[in-house]
Amino acid sequence: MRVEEAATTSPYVDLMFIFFFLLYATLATVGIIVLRKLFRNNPVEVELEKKYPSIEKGDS
Amino acid sequence: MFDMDPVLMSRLLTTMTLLFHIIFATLGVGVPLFISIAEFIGIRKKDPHYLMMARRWARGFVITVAIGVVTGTAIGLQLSLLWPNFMQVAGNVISLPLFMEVFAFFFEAIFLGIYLYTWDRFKNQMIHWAFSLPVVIGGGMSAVFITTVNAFMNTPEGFTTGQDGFVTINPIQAMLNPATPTKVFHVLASSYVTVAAILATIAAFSLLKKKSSEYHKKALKLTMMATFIFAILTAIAGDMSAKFLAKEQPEKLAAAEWHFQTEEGADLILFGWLNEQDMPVGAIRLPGLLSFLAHGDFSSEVTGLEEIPEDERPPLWIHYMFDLMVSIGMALVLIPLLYLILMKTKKWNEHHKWMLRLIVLGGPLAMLSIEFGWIYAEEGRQPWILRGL
Ligand code: HEM
Repeated sequence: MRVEEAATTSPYVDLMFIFFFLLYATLATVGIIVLRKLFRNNPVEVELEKKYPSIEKGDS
Repeated sequence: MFDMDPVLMSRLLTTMTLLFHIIFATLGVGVPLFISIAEFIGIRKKDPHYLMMARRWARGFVITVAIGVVTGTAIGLQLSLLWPNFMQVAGNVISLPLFMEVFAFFFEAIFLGIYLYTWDRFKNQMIHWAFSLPVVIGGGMSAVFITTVNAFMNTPEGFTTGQDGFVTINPIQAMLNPATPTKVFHVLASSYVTVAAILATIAAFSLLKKKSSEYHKKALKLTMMATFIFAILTAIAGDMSAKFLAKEQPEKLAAAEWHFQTEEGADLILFGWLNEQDMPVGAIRLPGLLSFLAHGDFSSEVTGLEEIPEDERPPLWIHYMFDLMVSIGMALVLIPLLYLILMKTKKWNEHHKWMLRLIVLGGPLAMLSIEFGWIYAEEGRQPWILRGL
């Protein structure tokens, strides 16, 4: 079976393309913002000291 | 709507979805392994740095899983809506692995939830660590199942064709088609090397910004050693894939290598371009190496494109996809090797600015290599959606 035999004949795929492009762009943007916030606002040194106070200062 | 050809638009939409989804799928397969390794080391060495690595990697991982769920759903939807005739014919066969893939993913997601919410809940820390294992296995198994479907499109087996499509279907045999073993091996190894390289990128980047953080140095050492090991496994798997292609799908190898005439002792052609007579120019020629890649013997015969009917040949530009994938594969062996040499040699410094900068490049390059690999594998199957049927 060849690719062109398998495809839909719907004329609205181009519209869907735009819709999904916007969806992925949103997902990528939100994903990056959330990940940055998550780690920028909570640096590892601070978290180590909070969670494992036994760790020596300057050793983190 | 805009009078675009639905076949072309279906291909473009599927391409876009897959290129985006594969980023999160790769992370979903690979990250759990490194969470699990870090926590294990942390518990055994009683070293809070490694425990913190596991915590922070797991926290970031949740976000990428969430995005992966959305893009995975998009793929499922588009498979049925854009390729209805494919699903009508192949659906009978591939619904089993597709279902098992979803099941494996749920398995991974459920245990990820348990893992995240049970930090510090057990006296014996090893019990918490044990919950990471189903996450690792679930991620790996979903890659295995979905890869069997892709393999089936390349070398369909496990059925007989009757009047209206497939009859006497054996879905297990279909899953274990000839393309499955090498694809599964290469997909798993390349996922693990990519995640190792990305985690190394983060550690190296942090070290470049704030020097001498013990935490990031430990993270870098762990991920560099993993990158080295999995890069070698990826290359071995890739070599086995090429040998599979030479035997079962020679047109995909021949198109990628610009190998037009069947011949013995075939040269490997790196990069370059094609002139009007379809002769490679400006390329690096490695004598006999294509024969070696194809059959493990420098003088063996390799099938050329001339033997494939003209309307069944894949596009020739996949040459660049293959070469870029392999070049990055070599870099992913050499970068950690250099790091390890610097580390083992007393008077050298593995945290030198330029070493770290090189490592920072590794993660994005590895993810690019995943994209190149898939573009190569999928374009190399053209014009078929189910090869040969
Ligand atoms: C180092 C040498 C490498 C060789 C010889 C190699 C070879 C191959 C071959 C022959 C295929 C096509 C398999 C098929 O269609 O059945 C393939 C596909 C692929 N490659 Fe590579 N590869 C190498 C490195 C890499 C690296 C470093 C990555 C990513 C980090 C990668 C990722 C992929 C992916 C995702 C696919 C598509 C899945 C598949 O078909 O197996 N490869 N590779």
